Formats: sequence, structure tokens, C-alpha cells
Amino acid sequence: MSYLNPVRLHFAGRFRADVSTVNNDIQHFDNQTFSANFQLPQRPGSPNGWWQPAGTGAWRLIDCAVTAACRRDGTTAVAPAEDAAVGVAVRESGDRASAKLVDLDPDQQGVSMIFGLTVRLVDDNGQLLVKGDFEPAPFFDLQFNRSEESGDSAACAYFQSVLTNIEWGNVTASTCLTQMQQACAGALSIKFMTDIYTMGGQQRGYGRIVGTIGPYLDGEPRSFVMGRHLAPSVSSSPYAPVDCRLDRERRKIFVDVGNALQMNMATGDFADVGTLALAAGTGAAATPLGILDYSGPKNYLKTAGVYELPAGRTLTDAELLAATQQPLQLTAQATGAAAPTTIASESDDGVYMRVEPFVFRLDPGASETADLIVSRFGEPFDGATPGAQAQPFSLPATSPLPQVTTDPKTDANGRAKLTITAVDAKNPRGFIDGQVYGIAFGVQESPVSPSGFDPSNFISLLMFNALLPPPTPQWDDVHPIFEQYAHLYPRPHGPNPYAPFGGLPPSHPVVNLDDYASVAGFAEHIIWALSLPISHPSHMPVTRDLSGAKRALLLKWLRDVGADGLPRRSGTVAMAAAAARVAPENYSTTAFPTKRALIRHTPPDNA
Amino acid sequence: MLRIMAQPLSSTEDLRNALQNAIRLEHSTIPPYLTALATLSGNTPAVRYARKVIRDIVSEEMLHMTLACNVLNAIGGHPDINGKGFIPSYPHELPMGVAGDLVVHLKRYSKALVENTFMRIEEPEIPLNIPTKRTTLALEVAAPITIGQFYAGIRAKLVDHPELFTGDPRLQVTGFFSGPGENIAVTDVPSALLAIQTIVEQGEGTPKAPTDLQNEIAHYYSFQQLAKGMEIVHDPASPLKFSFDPGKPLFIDDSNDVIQMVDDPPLVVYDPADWRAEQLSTECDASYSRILNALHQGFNGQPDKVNDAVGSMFEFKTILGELLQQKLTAGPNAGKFAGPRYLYVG
Repeated sequence: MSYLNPVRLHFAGRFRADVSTVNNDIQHFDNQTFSANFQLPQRPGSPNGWWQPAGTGAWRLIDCAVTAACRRDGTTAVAPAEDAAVGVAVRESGDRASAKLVDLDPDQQGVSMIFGLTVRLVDDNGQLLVKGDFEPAPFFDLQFNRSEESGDSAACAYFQSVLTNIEWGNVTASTCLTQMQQACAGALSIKFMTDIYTMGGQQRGYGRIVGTIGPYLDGEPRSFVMGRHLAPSVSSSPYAPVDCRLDRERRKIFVDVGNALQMNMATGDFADVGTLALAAGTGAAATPLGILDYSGPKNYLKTAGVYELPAGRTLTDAELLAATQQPLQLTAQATGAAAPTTIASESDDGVYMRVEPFVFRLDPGASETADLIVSRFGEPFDGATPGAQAQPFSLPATSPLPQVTTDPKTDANGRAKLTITAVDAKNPRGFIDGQVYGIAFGVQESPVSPSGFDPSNFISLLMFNALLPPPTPQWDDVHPIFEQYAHLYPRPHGPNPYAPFGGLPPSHPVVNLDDYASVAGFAEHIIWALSLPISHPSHMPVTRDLSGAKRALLLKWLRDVGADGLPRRSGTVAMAAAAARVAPENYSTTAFPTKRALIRHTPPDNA
Repeated sequence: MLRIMAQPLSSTEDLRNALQNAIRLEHSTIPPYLTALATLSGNTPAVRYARKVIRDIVSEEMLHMTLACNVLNAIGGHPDINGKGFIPSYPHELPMGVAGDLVVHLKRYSKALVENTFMRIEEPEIPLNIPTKRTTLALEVAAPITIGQFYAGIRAKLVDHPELFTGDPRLQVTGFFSGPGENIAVTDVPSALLAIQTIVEQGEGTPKAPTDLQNEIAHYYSFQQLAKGMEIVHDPASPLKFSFDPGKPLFIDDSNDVIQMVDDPPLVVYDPADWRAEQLSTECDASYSRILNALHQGFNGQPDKVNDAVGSMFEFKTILGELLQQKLTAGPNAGKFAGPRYLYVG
């Protein structure tokens, strides 16, 4: 049932995404042409290191609290007196570094992923009610139409994942949390939207977060709802996809428009689009299923855009039948308008499919298997015939393709295995390791193209280069790798001192990765951070874009010390990475103006 | 000289309480030292030298805290690192401090801060006078209750009661400091005495030398370099084998080399116009709290969590660095820079 469950809580607050923007520009990855001004903030006439060059990658929950607690009987509490869960703080980890927000690659910034997040519900007395580790997940349905603002300030996206390693405190004071504890099988489902992100001034790097937590049940998808999925029919639509789930037992249908509608920036609630209604079928034969009441102040903060229809009653037999068999439509009818307009609709055949996980980082020879999950009108599609095809984001002539295979048919749960096996990417981009690929998928039984239906719905793969490491690595062998990170992340790893802001005092990095003495003196900490699992918030590098071969090289250099007890400073120079830093002529070093350009860079559909 | 209140040492529980207070005491020096260190923003050789002096001392205070935890764990106690009152509410006396004797503030680096606060914290019972060109010295009079005496009391109690060493050896935290023989496990009387000797001598030196067990300059004298404005060098001609060298001056320009941080940030209310200063202060508090929470777990059965504390320390440095770049635009402190509060937030 996921978070679209009668037992759920909504929360709202702010988040901080302290991402470095130096690495938003592929040109900045080129050690040969790197310029110190790439570490300075943008100013009129010069993009420099864009708008937040001193970012650290940290992602934090700020002043978040539960705004509503929904219970099994359909009641919703919005005050602490009604349910003790309301008002409790939703906080990040209390005993390790902050989570990180990480692009897959400068060429694919449309699946930024949160790593190392722990979510805690803590009451006023500091008592833990529940906590869990957010399984790393990328955002989905990134769109730039949330408001009339520009750039990332008008962006909105959602993250959906599960909280694992759940630890419960005493939740007896809250009916909602007690029911959630009873319903969940060791994990919780979480979804949240991020919007109203600020790119300058005092609040630079901060935005709004609104979300939902509910029980996760075994066998469910972890990163999407096994339900009904509606999307706008044209790419120029100001709306984004809508997720629904029909609850047959309770004769209700959940509609989640949290990421789908535009905002009224003055109120922070959904912009007034008139009457929002859900129906099954189209035209005169459509069966109305209810109206979404998005009125009232702070409606969005208290609902996260999740509504249960029909309000105040249950679905009739006829409505239930229509909802089961016909495509759903969400329409809006402005006051005085003659007819409603369609905001989003389900595909005619009701087929929807997702792959999870859908973002991969793979070394040559490595293989990972994902689940391709196909549904039809929300039910598993048994016996569908899947296919998938990879395409590089750039330089198709010189980018070897990974192998992508699928099971011949989906099983009774609508699932088929999709396996990606990486080969040597052969360094087509020169100064950026490997290549990024989009992998489109589909099933023969449906004309629906998943990435045509929803432009976010494809697999992203970062496939690394092979590397022949030198037998006894020296500083010269590893320096180009460290140097690139020193360039791209100046506050934690760059020059000492680092003074990006005119008239303000400089800061000192944690370690200057461009400096042998600094790196050698910090060796034990770097070894620790390089050896951590990718899900750990202190994993190094923050950007999770270091190939296994290069990681092994760095660790060997750090551990295989010379006679002086320090990592080897000089000697022979033999390093594929160092040799291959020259950009190919046909790889553009022009900066992408915004992330919007990137999400349009989706691979062609197949299937 | 810093005087502290005598601690009861009659019972085992008294001894454990005294060691818990020792942990609090060793920790309580870190925020003021760290703050001064972080405000040293210049890049002259003297600033780099001063930064290294303070950074090394902070690192040894962390070691002392670790060793005190190891001793407490060795006798079956449980270090409490993340209680609400663990961090002093600066400005405040140090734990066990005599009221009004030495109030420790959170201030930007200055020679006066080093001389009047940091050196007093680390002051030996009888400070040795390291000569500048062989001058003579006057000895200070010992106060009745000193940190040295406090640790001497703990030593005596431990020597008398070897049967107290019943703690679980798996609780010992070792391997986090690189100095030889420093970060030892404490399992019996000899190892406990070695740990305490390291704590005392790294701060104060020995009665005969300004160096510690590891032959490093003790904190008091190391700070004294900054107060005197010259480096200590080896000097065979000196009776103490060390001299201050006027040929190696340490000049730090208070206006250009030091971030003009507000005094005692916990007492400052930022104007709403300085939203970011307040917000980063809150993130700094949360970050420091994460360090203490991880250390608490590290010293209470999950030694690996000390790694997470170290990882959080690096993050703390980046947050603190950004906080200290927040120039206040409004209110009585306009023109000065924001600073860390070290408020525990759970």
C-alpha cells in the first residue's frame, strides 16, 4: 500500500541542499583547462563556479514537523491534542554526518540522489518515537513548472523510498504511530516533494519539503506506488504526473497530486485551478469518482497533496467497477468555464511500468539486476514481454554499450528481471570518467512508451572506464584524481585558504586534495572514508562518481607507503587516467544553462 | 592558576563521578580552543604556526577525553557524553571550577585570550620559566586545589584499589590518535596511571621539564609561545633545554589575521535580517551534537562509532567555516561575524 495508506502521517518543513555547483559544468572537470575563477560565485558576465561553489553536498532536514496524522478509521488529526504524532519533529541523523545530495554525473543531473539520510521522529522531550535509514533514492519527476519563478526556484521533484532498520520508541500516545507500527513489516514507505528552492541571498541553498510516511508492506515496490499513474498528455503542460491507488477493501481511491500541481507562491498552497475532479473513463461516459478539496490555508502542508476520494462516503459498486476497468482522468474546471480540462490521464490500456532501482553506477564487468515491474490498471501484468535498450547521453560513435537483458516474460507479480552488465566505457569523454547511458524499456503488449508517458521514466547508468593500475602507485599517478575533486569541491577539499567571497574571510579546507603533504597527513581518514559503503553519509567521494578501479588505486597508494612511512611521493609516471585527460574534439565543453536542458536530454524510446 | 573544587573520593561511585567530571573538564576546553582556532583566518607563517599549535592541543584534549573515558570504563563506569549539561553554557567556569575564578568565554583568537584564559586553564602548579636568553624566574605559589591535585587524588585511589578494574575491555577506545603510546587501552592500575600521566603532562609538562611523556612541549608552554610572540626552540644552553627564540617571532595581526567574531555567540541574538547567521548557528549546534552523540555511543560499547564522530568533526569544520563568514548586517554587532554556540540539541 506504501505511503498511500489510510494510516499515514504528513510532514512539512525546510531542507538544505548545500550542493557544490562547480561540478554542474562539464568544463570544470578538465584539469588541463581548470581556472581558479571556477571556484568563485557567478557574477554578471561570468558564470564562474555558478551560484554555490562552496557547497559541500550536505542535505539536511530543517525545522520539519508532522502536520497531520491519518488513522485507520479515516480520521485525520491536525493538532497534538487529537494525536500525539502531530507536531513532533522530523529530524535527520543525530549521530553521524548529514546526508548528501549527489548528481549521477554532470551529463545526467536529473536523478540526483540522497545518500546517508536517517529520519527520526522526536517528541518535545527529545524522546525517539521512530527512526529509520532512508534507502538511497534519486528524485523523480523533476519539473520546472512549479511556479512562475525561474531556474531551480521553480523546480519540484519527489523522492520516494523506504526507511529500513526501523527502531521504534514508545508510540502508545499516538494512535497513528501505533497503527503504523502494527501495520508495517519492518520498513516504512516515505515520499516527499522538494520545491521553492532558493539560489541566492540569505536563504541560498534552502527549500521547502513536504511529505508522507506510511507503512511499507513486503512485496511492494520500494520507489513507486503499485497503483494507477496519470500523466499530462503534452510536454508543455504546466502539470506533472499524478499517482493514485484504489483501495478496494475500503472502497476509496487515493489521489496524490503533491508533485503535480502548480503553487501559489503567495500562499504556499496549490494554485487555484477551479474544481479538481477524478473520473474513470472519458467524455459523457465518464464516471465521476470525487472532488479533491485542496482549499483552506496550509492545505498542502497538511495533506502533502494526498486526498482520499470520494470524500465523506465510499465508492459504489458501479464506481468501483469503473475505477477498476477504465483509465482515470484528473480534470480541472475553473469557475465559469464551460468544460473541464484534463490535467493528467492514465494510459488507455492502463499499462504502467517502472524499473527499480533505476540509477546505476557500474564498473566494467560488473552486473546488477533490477526489477522491471509492469501493471495494468494497478494490477500485476502477468506474461508481458519486456525489452530494453541502452543509449549513451553523448558521443554514440565512441561509447561502447552495456549489455542489457531481461527475463522473457513478467511473472504473476508483474515482475521480470532486468540485468545490466557493464563493459569498459573506454573513456569517450576524456576528462570525465566513463559514460552515462539512458536505458529505455517497454513491453511488446503495450504501445505505451514509459519515457514518452513520463519523461523521467528510464534507467540511468554511469559506466566507468577500465584502468590498468601501476604496480607501485606514486603521487603522480593519483594526483590527477585527487586534483579533480580539489577543483570541484573547494570548501572541503580545495585550496588553503579558500576565499570565494570578496570582503569575507577565507575558510580552510578539511584536506587539500591537490597537495601531497595535506593528503599524506590525512591518509588514515581518507582510507576510512574511501572504504565506507556508498550509503554512508561520510563515504568519499561525496559525489559517488569514483570508479572501483580508481578507488582501489587510491587505497593502494595510501596504504602501500614508502620507506618514510608516507604514501609514495614520486617515481615513475604511469597512469591511464593521467594520460587520457584530453577532451575529444566532439565532446562539447559548453555548460548546460540549466538542469532543465538536461532532463530534456532523455534517450529515445524503444520497445 | 585555575582552581577547582575538591571532589569526594571515598567510594567507588565517588571515583566514577570524579572521572566523569574529568571527562567533562577535558572536553570543556575544546569549544573555546576550537573557536579561537577557527577565527585564525590569515595565511602568514605566524598564523599557520599558531593554527598548528592550537590544533595539536585540541587534538590532545580529545585524546585526554578518550583516556579519561577509558579509565572510567576500566573501573566499570559509563561515560556520559551526551547529557544536556555536558557542554558548559559558555561563558562559564569549567566543570568543577570555583565560581568566579576563571570564567571561560567563546572568543576570537587574541594574545590576551591565550594568556588570560588558555594558559590559565593549562597552568602547572609550578610553571617553569623557560628562559629568553637565560633570565631568572619567579615561581608562583601553588593553590590548594589544582587540576594536578585532582588527578593525583584519582591516581592514589586507583593505586589503592586494583580490584576496581572490572570493566569490559571491549569498551576501550584505542587507535584514534597517532602519537606513540598515547591512545592506550586501560585495563589495570599501570595502564590507568600511564593514561593519567599523559593527560596531566601533555597539559602541564613535568615539574622539571616543559615537555610531556612523549617529549612534546606541554600545552601551557605551547600557548606561551603565542602569548610571548616567539617560538620555543631546543637550546642546549638553557637549563630546561628549551628557550624562547626572539629570532623566531610570532606576530599575528588581530585585525587582518583574525575573523572579528562576536564575543560569546551563545549570548548574541541575531537580527532577523541575519537569518543565515542564525540558521548556520543552528546547524552548527546540531553538528556538534552529532559528534557528542556518536562519541557517547563510541564510549559505551560501540567503539566504531568514534569513526562517525570523526567524520562529523570534518563536517563541523565546514559548517563552522561558513558560519564564521557570516558578517552581521544589523543590530549592535553589525559588522562583526557570527560564531558557534555549542548548544546541545539532542
